[in-house]
Amino acid sequence: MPIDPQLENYLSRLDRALGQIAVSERSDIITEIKSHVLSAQEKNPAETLGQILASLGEPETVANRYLMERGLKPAPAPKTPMVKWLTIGFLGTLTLGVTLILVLIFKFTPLISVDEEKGRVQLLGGLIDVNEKMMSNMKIDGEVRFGDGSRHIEGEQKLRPGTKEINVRFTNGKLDVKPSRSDSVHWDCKLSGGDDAKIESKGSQFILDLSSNLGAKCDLLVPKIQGKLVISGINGKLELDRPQNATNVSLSNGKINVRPDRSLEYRYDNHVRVGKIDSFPSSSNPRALPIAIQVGNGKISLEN
Amino acid sequence: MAGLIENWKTQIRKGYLELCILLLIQAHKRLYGFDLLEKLEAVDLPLKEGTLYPLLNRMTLDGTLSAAWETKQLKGHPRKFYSLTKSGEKLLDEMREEFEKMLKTFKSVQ
Repeated sequence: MPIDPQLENYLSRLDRALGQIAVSERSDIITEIKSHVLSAQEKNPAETLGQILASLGEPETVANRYLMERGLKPAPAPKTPMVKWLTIGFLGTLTLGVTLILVLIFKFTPLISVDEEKGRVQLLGGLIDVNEKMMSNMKIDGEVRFGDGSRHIEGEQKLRPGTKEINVRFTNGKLDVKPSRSDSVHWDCKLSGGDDAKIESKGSQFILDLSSNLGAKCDLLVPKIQGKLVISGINGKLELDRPQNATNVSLSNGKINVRPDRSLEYRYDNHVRVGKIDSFPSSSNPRALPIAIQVGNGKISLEN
Repeated sequence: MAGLIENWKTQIRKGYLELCILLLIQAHKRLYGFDLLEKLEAVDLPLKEGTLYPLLNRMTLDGTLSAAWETKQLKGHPRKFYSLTKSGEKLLDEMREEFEKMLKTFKSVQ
């Protein structure tokens, strides 16, 4: 007599789930369960096969009880088709994501490369290219160029007595900062695109704000004050020539070169997140001038 | 509270379930699985089929029960009959003794 497909399916699953048990014993178990089902059908013909099997429980659960009674490790619960497909979907997406990340890393390496000879800093495999020779022109992925409408500004401002901070801000630029022999700040800048520089004295602060300008190439003369020089920029190159003041510099991407004044002592606190940093001999003299330079991606070099 | 009492009942039943199975098999000399389920239900000790058969299987493996397939005298399909072995009889005696001690303790603490 052919066996009902529903029962056949149940017994097949049970057999698979009992995999850890020897085949002869498995066969005995399957036969007993089948015998139970047939006995149940005989006893109560009104009860459907589905109800009898539901009363037995999922074949994997029954199998696990057999395994646990023998001190064996139960098999994992069966996954519904939905769970199976969700798992496949998740793993597939994860694999694609990882592959994409690997391709991006491969395409954009090296992440940063500094070419001193050509005065160039390249980020993300050349996606951002900061070139000192064409600083008024910013090249991004070879498609966008800045630099049209460049102009030249030059000026000088005597600092107010009691000025405690000289603050220079730029977005993209090359700045050469040297000591001034007077008590004035002097600037000589070639600006490209964007707005003009903003120059103002605010309280004890003198501010030279080039950040609205798209590319600035400046020679700055900065006097010695009883305070500090603060320079912040996004992309570019900075030359600090014989700093006479406590100096804080932050540059997201680019290169900073320091030429110390041999007659002064400096206490350095320099950091580069990704890139290179030369070894700076730092003085322990409490009177040494503090120089703190932070570069995100790039280089801090020492010129002796 | 309901959860606590149900949990306690489950734990207690686990303890005397095997005793009751052995007592029933001894009383009837031999029983097959489906029959045993009906008799357990009749004494208000209902048991899931998916729990009984693995338990009988284990008790056969550890020598408490012996099992034999039979088709004679019965129409239709073969059935697996269980009976107590000699060590099963001994085990039953010890379990009965222990259970009676427990009943005695229970009565005395009351």
